[in-house]
Amino acid sequence: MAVTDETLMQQVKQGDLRKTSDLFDRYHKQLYNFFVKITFDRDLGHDLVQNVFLRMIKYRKTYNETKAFKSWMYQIARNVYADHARKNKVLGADLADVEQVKTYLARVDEKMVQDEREKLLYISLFRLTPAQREILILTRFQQMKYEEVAKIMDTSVANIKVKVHRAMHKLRETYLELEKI
Amino acid sequence: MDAKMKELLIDYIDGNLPAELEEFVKKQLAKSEEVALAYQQLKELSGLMSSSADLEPDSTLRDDFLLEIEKELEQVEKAIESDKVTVIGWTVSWKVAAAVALLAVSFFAGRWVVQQDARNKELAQLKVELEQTKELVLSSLQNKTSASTRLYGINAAYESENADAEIIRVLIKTMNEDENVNVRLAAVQALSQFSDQPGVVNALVQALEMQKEALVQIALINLMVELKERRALEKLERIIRDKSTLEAVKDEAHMAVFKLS
Repeated sequence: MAVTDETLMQQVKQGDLRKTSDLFDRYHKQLYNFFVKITFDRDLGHDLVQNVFLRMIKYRKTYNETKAFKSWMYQIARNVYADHARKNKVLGADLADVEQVKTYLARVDEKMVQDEREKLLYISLFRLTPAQREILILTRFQQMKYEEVAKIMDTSVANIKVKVHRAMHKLRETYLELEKI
Repeated sequence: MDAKMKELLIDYIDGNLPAELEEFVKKQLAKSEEVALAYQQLKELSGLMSSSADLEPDSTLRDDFLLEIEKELEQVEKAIESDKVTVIGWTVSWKVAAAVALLAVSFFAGRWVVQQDARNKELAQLKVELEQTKELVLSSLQNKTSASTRLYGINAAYESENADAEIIRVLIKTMNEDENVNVRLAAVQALSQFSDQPGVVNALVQALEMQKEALVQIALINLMVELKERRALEKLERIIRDKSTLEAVKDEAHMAVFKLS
């Protein structure tokens, strides 16, 4: 059986820093998608993933082995993003034109605009707030359970549910508007 | 379509509804075109999101990361090397020192209480007579000559479930002005019990700036994290920037900023 995330992180905590690379292999892609789909910026996604793992090493001693590693990791990821957002202007509001957004998305990834429906999905997603994108990325794209997301965000399952519902209906409204164009 | 129906639709798609409500939604879907359309669209969006392909990071991400681990390892190894030649006394971390000091304080306060109880029934009698922790706390804290009496007063406040404005005021004054570090530390702990009372959290945040003793600073910093007190962030940054702050305190402050941000 594979070694659990928690055991690996425990070993990192005890000084075996190279074990972080196993955790990196398990999660970097998931984190990369989390960041790129919130920020729509590949270079930034690259840097933020890097930051998450650096913080993980730097603050390894604060890891509590009785808690799920993945929740802890996402808490760090959210802090990393929050730090970034505080220091930088969050992109989105100034790109109102659909064509502009489409060109922008194509630069992030060609695949995002190849399929007509997927293109509309990403443009709609782009028009939500980062917080709404975040909740949809976690619960829909990455299909995490509400309980898990509630732990990451340190809130109740009921609260997560409300957030998901609002984001989903907002996404649907935006998607419908775009379909009409 | 009302808000309740909107909620139900998403739970229905996720398969999170009890049988009874599921039946209800099914009936609505058959009955109302609007509901059926919304359902189709939400289901389609959900499907699109869950099947959307992951983006691939380029290989430099892993290479950059491995490089960073090696850098960090080098630093750790350097630190271990320098530790070997350091006098043992210096390697004792402030955390350990803080823990030992706390233990000592509790031990001596405890022993003092036991001895006092056995030897001096007068104070116990006084306690019964007053039937109010308040006066005990206030009178003990007024004893300028005996730190252990003041500690006793703080313990009494700590153990009482209620503290009025007067007790809080005296505890804050003690935390800020008492000449004995153990007494100040005990006051911080007692105040942490009453963090829901007006003015307490504010006084604790202010104390962060005033206290210069590492033990008290660390206790306050940890308390800010425990209370999730984001108003402390600015003061914590100042502690980090202050050149006179001890490294161990800075480390704690860094960690607190990280946890609170």
